[in-house]
Amino acid sequence: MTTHPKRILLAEDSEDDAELTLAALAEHDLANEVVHVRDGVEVLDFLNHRHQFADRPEGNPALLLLDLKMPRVDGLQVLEQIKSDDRFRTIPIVILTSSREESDLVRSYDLGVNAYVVKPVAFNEFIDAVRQLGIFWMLVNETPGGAHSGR
Amino acid sequence: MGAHAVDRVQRESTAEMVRTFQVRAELGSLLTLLVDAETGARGYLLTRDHTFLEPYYHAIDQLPVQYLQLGKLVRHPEQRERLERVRLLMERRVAAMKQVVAGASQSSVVTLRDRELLVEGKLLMDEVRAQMAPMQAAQDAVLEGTTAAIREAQALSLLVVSVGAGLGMVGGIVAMLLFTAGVARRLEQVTANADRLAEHQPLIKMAAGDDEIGQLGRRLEKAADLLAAHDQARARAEADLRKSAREIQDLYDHAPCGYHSLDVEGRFVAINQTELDWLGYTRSEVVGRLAFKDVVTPASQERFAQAFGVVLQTGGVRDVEFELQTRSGRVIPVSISSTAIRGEAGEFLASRASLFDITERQRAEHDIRRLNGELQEQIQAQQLLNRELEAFSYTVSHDLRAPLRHITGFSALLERKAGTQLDAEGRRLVSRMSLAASRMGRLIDDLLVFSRMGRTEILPRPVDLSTLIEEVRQEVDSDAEGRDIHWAIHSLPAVAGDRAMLKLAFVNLLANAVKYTGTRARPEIEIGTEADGNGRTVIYVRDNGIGFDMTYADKLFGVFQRLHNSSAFEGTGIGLATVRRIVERHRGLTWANSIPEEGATFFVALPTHVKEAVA
Repeated sequence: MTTHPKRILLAEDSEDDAELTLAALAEHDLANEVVHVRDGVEVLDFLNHRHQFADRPEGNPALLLLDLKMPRVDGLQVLEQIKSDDRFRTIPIVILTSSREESDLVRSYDLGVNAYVVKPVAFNEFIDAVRQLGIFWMLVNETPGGAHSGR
Repeated sequence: MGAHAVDRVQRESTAEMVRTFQVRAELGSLLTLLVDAETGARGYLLTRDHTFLEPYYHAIDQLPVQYLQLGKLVRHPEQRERLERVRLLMERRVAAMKQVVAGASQSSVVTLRDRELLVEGKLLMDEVRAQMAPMQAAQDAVLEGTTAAIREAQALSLLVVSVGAGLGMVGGIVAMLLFTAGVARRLEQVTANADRLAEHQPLIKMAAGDDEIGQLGRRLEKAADLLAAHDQARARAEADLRKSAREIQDLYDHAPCGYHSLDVEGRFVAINQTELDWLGYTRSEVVGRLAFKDVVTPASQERFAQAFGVVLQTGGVRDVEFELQTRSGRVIPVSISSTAIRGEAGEFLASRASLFDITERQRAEHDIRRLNGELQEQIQAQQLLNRELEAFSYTVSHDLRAPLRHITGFSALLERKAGTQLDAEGRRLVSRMSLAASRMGRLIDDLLVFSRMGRTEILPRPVDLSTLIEEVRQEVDSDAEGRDIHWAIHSLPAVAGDRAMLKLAFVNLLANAVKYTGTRARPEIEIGTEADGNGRTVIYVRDNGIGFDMTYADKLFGVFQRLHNSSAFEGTGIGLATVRRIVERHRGLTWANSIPEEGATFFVALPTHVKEAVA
């Protein structure tokens, strides 16, 4: 069984934010395999091997970086759907958003998010945040199955 | 008078009698003494025995004394003369006896001389006796006379007493007769007066008298006076009563409410002028002619019938609302309270009701309802507005920050990736861009906080300021990058409010204090409390920083207002505005004092108790 490389699924509708996030991930060599989708529909399509992702490699992403405000299906809806689906429930999800609203926080944790990080305006801080995220979720944290499924 | 005289005579007689007996006794003693002397001398002469001389010497000694005593008793000149003769005789005899005795002592023989002396002695004694007898007799005669006088006086006094008694008795009888006659007359007068009093006629004044009849007469007169006064008073009271009755009638008639009384069938038995005016009738048209239901609108008929039934049964109703129908057809809404008046046997006599015109009240109630409705609408509009603001803030939060983040992000990437290709000036420009973007980020954050402070609900609770300030101080102190700040924090009380919001306010205040003492070698920040007296607690934050010009003090708490340019002191200009908004949401006050270069003091007054803290 081939071990799949760890993938980061980045759900972000803003091109600018996406680029900055990728640049930040690259700073720490975590940009290995980052798949960038633009909204909740594409997240679900990816997970379900649908449409343009029908031929994607097997395995769940090791980490889902999820923005909240996205068109069509937004972050909270995606969160809800993933966490209620047995196949995807164990995927670590980090909400990476610019909103510090209490309501979003509460709802996210209610739905079972693993972490909630607010995108700092200052880039240096942003890089730091991303680095810490990356290191933790990609290197330190153990996940069941996922990238290492199929022994 | 007669009695006095008798008494005196009697006393004198008694004294005389006593004297008489005394004289007799003394005379007797005198004679005895002589005899003693005589016998003593003779005995001696015969026997020459000295024993016989004892009585002789004793008698000789006593004779003068006896004589003196007699002298005191005897008064009568004749008696005194006789006494004197006796004394002379006695002296002669005593002298003779002395001679005899002296002679006898020299010889023991009875001589002739002695015999002669003795015979002489006897003769002398006879003479003395002869003198004494008449003396005695005379004294006895006096006594007899005195006794006779006494008897006479006694007889006289008896006569006087008898006569007096007789006169007295007669006088007494006369007096009694007179008295009785007088009493009867006066009694008749008094009785006549009593009769007059009973018939309410004026009395005839009686002659004065201190006795019971006189007193009775005076009492009758007094009674007549009292009766007259009583009559006057009663006449006045009746006049007052009539006056009061008129006043009461006036009050009743012109009261600001309607009064009426109904009989058991609901007909008017009384009605006041006010109600008559409302209804547009005259009294004669109403009393005894109309029933109350005749002046009530058809719609109110049933309500009235029911209410009146309640009055008849239970004795009263309160505040029942009807509509009256006046003669002209106008409708007046009224509120009626009615009481049943019962007789002694509990039977219903009449109802007494008061009516209040509630037209105004109804109008006011209508207005209130309308205003309440408008208020509700306004509240809803306000709430809608708040929700829109909430949504707006949320949008700002997300949408504004995103491009800002991009600006800073790409600037930073530019610096990293192409920094080497830029000259110093280029890098400086990029740096300025980044800083500006960061600043904008902070502004937006502060604005969002400021906006949230105006929207969120406050849940006031008691907040212990001591622990809160200490938390804030630690945060602010650790951000102060190692500067040695001297904190003087006094003990602080509890206030009422939202802990998170209050914490934010104090973070702003303390951070400001730290910031504006940045140029001081020894920054000092003091936090304490002052009394307010209006149920609020005043907290002050005092620093020794650069202070500000009081001329611009009113701008201090304005949004985006800064009194120092940003190059000297970093700041967004919203901090104090946020503090003010938080404190005002707590129904508190904010203000500040300063002397430039000497520091500033910021004051916050917060409610002490929870019930005052909600806005």
